[in-house]
Amino acid sequence: MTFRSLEELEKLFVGYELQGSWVQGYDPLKNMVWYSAFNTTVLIKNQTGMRSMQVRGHPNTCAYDDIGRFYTVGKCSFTWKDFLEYWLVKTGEMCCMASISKGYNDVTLWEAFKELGFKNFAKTQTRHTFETQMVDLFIYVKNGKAASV
Amino acid sequence: MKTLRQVQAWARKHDYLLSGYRKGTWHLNGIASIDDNGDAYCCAMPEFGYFEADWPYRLEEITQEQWEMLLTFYIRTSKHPFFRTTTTARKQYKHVNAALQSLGFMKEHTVRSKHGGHYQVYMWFHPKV
Repeated sequence: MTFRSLEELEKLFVGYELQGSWVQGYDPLKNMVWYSAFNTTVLIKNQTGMRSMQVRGHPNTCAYDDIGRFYTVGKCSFTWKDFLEYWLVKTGEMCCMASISKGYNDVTLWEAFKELGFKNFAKTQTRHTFETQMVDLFIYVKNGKAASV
Repeated sequence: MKTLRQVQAWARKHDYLLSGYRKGTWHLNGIASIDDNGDAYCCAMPEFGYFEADWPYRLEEITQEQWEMLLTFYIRTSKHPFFRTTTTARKQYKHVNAALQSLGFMKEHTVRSKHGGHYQVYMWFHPKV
């Protein structure tokens, strides 16, 4: 999957405000590249609407981030695919995972993951509330095999 | 994979105590432990990790069989629908990795650690048991 350039994507968000941590960091003391948001809500909004998601750094080996709690309020001129692609490109995210239910989440969100090349590596059930709801588990590794060892 | 009854029989035979609870630490008492971290978002994809040896043992001293019993106890008792964890490729994790493989965990990806990228991290998944 080839993503659009950052410049191209930024044009989609003119007039919108970004909140949360959108920057990848580097700690020279630990020689550690890290997405600066261990826990953050990234959000894009203007007067008419917003989309947001939460990001959580992996607590164990720091190999990947979890993303979830996707919300849309009002009307946005950009899609979930635009949002996620922009986040991936802007932060330089290396590896992340998400669990999406077609029935519970906005179906365009599920489609965005597919279109962006996230690998739908398993299917399982939610543990609560929607007992019968199936959930698709998605994983993204930057540049496919290039980022893998 | 062994049944819960078989694991408990094994623990009795060796005079071990197995314990643990969801979103807590699971112990093979006096030997080793793992942590259940739950899931940050939809609860479909809980994760566990922090493979630790109890003092005075070192990680590499815990046998594959001991890891298998602790992991089987965790899988059988926690009743999560899905399991995921990460380990490193370093030699201290040799028995942990062998135990995960033996229990049917699938190594979905190998990625560079974010801690300098000088070692590899295995991402393991196990579907509903």
